[in-house]
Amino acid sequence: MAVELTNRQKETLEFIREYIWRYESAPRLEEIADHFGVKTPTAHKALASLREKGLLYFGRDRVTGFYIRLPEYHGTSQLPFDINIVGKVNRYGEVHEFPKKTGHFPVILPNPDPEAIFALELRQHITAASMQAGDLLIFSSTKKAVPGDLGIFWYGKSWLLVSLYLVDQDPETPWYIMSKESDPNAIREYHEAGYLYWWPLAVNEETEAYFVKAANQYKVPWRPIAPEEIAAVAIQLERPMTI
Amino acid sequence: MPHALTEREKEYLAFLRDYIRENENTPQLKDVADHFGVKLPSAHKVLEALQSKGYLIFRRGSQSGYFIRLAERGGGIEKVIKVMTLGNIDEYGEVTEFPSQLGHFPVVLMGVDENRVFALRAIQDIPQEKIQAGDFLICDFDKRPQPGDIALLPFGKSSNRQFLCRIYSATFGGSDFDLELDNTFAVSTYPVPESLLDPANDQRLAWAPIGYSPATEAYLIAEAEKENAPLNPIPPEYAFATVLRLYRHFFAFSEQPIQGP
Repeated sequence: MAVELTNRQKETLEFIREYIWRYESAPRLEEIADHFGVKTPTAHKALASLREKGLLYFGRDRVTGFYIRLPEYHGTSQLPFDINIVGKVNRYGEVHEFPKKTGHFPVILPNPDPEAIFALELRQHITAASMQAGDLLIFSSTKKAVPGDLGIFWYGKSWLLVSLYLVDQDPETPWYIMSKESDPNAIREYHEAGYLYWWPLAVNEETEAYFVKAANQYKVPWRPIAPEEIAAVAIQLERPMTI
Repeated sequence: MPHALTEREKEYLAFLRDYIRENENTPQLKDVADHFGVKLPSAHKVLEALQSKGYLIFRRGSQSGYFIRLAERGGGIEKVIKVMTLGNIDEYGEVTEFPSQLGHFPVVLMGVDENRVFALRAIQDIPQEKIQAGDFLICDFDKRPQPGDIALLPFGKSSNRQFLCRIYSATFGGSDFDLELDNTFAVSTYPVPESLLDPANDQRLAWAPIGYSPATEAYLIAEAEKENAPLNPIPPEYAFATVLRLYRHFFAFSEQPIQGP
């Protein structure tokens, strides 16, 4: 799509592009203003007009400060959008500091609902799930939980990452062994009501004792749970590796 | 995406880059604070700001101790790229069916050359690296590996095989340089003969296939002998490509058309 630009708009765009290329960071608003010998509100106006034409996006984030996004597209028409990191996950899969925004990053997702998408950052390894510190887990709060999903729900102590199963999928799951409600009739009722088995994502031989203790201490419901009790479902994991 | 940086943040970033280039290792928090003549909490604060803006990651690892890792081109122009999946990775970290077009999907990356980026798909679990079957690894032909990175390496000069390998520091440069820890780690991770960790080797990196474990050791050693692949540290330019990022699409979601084939 051809867009008509004034000279000032072209110069501003060129200045930003070159600045990012040279300094690997966005110019501050004052730097743009200084470069063109104008006041910051004028520079802001120039940016806003470029934003209106869809040539860049800029904003001020409460946590990370001023940013300018100048996306380029190669062989795809999909638009990235900003996702907020709003909590930290420990090695038990427990979510802390939630919801507290600590950063944001761009992602591409099919049909995303920006209101429903958020990310959590792993602060420790979760060996049982092949996850490591630094991984970013992306969740949707509107996707309906189905067996096989990874969800979060309030387990009495904190929000917890759990694997979800069909109620009658595997009678040998450890949950079944621990459950006091192992009555076949009760199981069938849960199944018919669309309830799901859950199991802490991080459970393995090392962490099992911790969950058993937490279960007793916080009166965790060791029963199947309704899909509505799942606050959000994980849709993607991103691991920045180089660095 | 590019964030605006304060002058102080720019100075810190420049210092970290120089330090890593010279030493092939990241400084300790104390080194950073000493360099700028500030107290530890002040240095920590600046690093935290750089972390939230996407320029680096730092934390205290249970095994590795305190580390700072710089994001490659952290503030570069953000590009939306269609990445081609060009091969599979098995449990040993060996790349198979490379190069063949196995599908594509869109990603957002900072400042890369879109023609030099590709993906590999894990077809078996690699528990040592917390990689699962189905994960995609985004690789960059242009990125020179740093210690701590995973790189795609040729397996000997004569074979046509490639393995994904963890890169460790084996560089011996300055006199006040203490890499004993890294070398011990490399040796205990992968049986590199000690004679090959020659301190006279300049600009060399130790490596180990990411699938290396006591269970796969015998297989990997036998393959190395078969292909006449030396196990000594390599110059960084030997690496074909370096892994930038891992993507995992969760089970129930993967039915949606987010990626090929």
